[in-house]
Amino acid sequence: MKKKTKIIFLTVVAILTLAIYYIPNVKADSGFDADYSSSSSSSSSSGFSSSRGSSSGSSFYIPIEPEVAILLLTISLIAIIAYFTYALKLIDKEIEELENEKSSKADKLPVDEIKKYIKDYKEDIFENDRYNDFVEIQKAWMNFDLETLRNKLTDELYNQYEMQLDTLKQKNQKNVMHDFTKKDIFISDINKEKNNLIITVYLKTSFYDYITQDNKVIRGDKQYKLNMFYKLIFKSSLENDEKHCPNCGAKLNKNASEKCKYCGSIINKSNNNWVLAKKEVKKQS
Amino acid sequence: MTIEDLKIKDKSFSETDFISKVDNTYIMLLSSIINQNLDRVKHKLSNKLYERYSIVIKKLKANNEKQLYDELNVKSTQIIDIDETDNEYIIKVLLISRYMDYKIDLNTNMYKSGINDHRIEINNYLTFTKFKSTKNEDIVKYCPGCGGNIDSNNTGVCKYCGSIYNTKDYDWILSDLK
Repeated sequence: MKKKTKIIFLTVVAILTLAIYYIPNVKADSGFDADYSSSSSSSSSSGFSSSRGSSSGSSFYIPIEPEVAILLLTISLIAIIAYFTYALKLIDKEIEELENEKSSKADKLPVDEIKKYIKDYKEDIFENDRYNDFVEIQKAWMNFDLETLRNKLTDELYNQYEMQLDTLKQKNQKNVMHDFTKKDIFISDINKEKNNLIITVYLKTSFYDYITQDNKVIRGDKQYKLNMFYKLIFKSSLENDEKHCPNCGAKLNKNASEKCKYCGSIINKSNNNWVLAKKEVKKQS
Repeated sequence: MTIEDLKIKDKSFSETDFISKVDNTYIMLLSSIINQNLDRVKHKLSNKLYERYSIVIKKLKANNEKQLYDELNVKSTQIIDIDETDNEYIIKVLLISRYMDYKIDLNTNMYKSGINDHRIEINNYLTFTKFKSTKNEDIVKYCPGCGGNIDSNNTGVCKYCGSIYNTKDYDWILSDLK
C-alpha cells in the first residue's frame, strides 16, 4: 500500500470514528442531557463511564451539529468504498501482471533437440534470420508493402494483415515503427504437423511504435521506445516445392502463398522458407 | 477429447493451421461488419450465424450507422474444448481481441457512440464445426459454379460468376460466437 494512500485511509477512518463517536454523544446529548455531565456520570454504570475514559467526559466532547456529523459519516463511507474499489482494481492489475509474467516464461530448447528436425541448424544464423524476418514484416506493415507480406506470412495471416491495413488506409493512418533492437531470441519448441515444421520463437525487442494521421502522431508516443516480448510461430514445409501451377502449369516461385502470374490462380501451398503463422504479444512495457 | 485424440481421428488436423483459420475468420467477420457486407465471409459461417449478423447489419443500416473496430487485433487464441457428434467435430476457442468499438453516422462520418480513444479487450467464445465426411481441399480451390480459381481465405465469392465457395464441405466453419 502506498504511503499516501495509507495516510488518506487512516484519516478517513479517524473522521469516521470521530463521527460515530460523537453521534451517540450528540444523540445522547439531546436525549440524555444530564448523563454526560460531570456530576451525574459518577453515579451511572461504572463500565459505561470508564469505557468513555474520563468520568467527566468533558475533555473529549466537541460540539458537532447532527447534520455535520451525518455529512462527515457519509463522506467517510463514500471515501472508504472508493478506496476499496481502487485497492481491488490494483490487486486485479497485479494478478494480471503476475499471470502475464507466468505465461511469458519459456525455456530455450537445446540445440540437439532442434537438430533432430533441422539437420544443418546453426543457432546464430537461424535466430538472426528469424529476427530479420520479424523486422522485415514490421517494415512491410508500416509501408503497406503487401508483396513482401505475402512472401513472409501464411495465407491466413496475410489476409488478416491485408484487412487490417485496409482500415488504416481508409483513415489515412500509418503505423510508424523504427529503431529496432534485438534483445533476446530463442526457440522454445519445434514439432512436425502434417508435412510442416512448426517452431515457436520467443523474441525480446524494442522499437518506436506509434500511429500517425496526416503526419501527426495520434496514438502512441514518438519519444518512448516500447519493450516487447513476443511469441512467434514460424512454419516451413517438409515437402518439395510445388514448382508448377496446378492450374496452368506455369513455373512458380518459392513463396508461402502465391498468385500465378499467368492464370492468376491463388495457390495456398506450403513453403520451404520459414513464414510467420502467428505473432502474439506476451508482455509490453 | 484432446488435440492429440483429434489428430488421430482427423489426420488432416493441424493445430497451427486451425488457429490461423480461427484468427482469419474472426478478422474477416468483423471487417465484413465494418463494410456492412457479409458476402466475403459467408462461406466461413454457419447459416444461423450468417442470419444473426445479417440482422445486425440490417439494424445498423436502418439506424444510419456504421460500426467500426479500429486497431483490431487478435491478442491470443486458445482451444478450450474439443468434442464430437456422429457427424461432426466441434472445437470451442477462446479468442481475446482488442479494438476500439464505436459507431459513426453513415452519411456524415461523425462519431455517434462507443469508445474511440482506446482499445478495449474482449473475450470471445467461438465454436467451429467440421463434418467428418469432408473432402480434402486442393491447394488451388475451384468455384463450384464455373470452375474458376477462388481465393477462399480472402473471399468466398467467385469473381467470375459470383457463386459462393462452400467451405463447409471441406473445412471448419464458424457456427457460434459469444
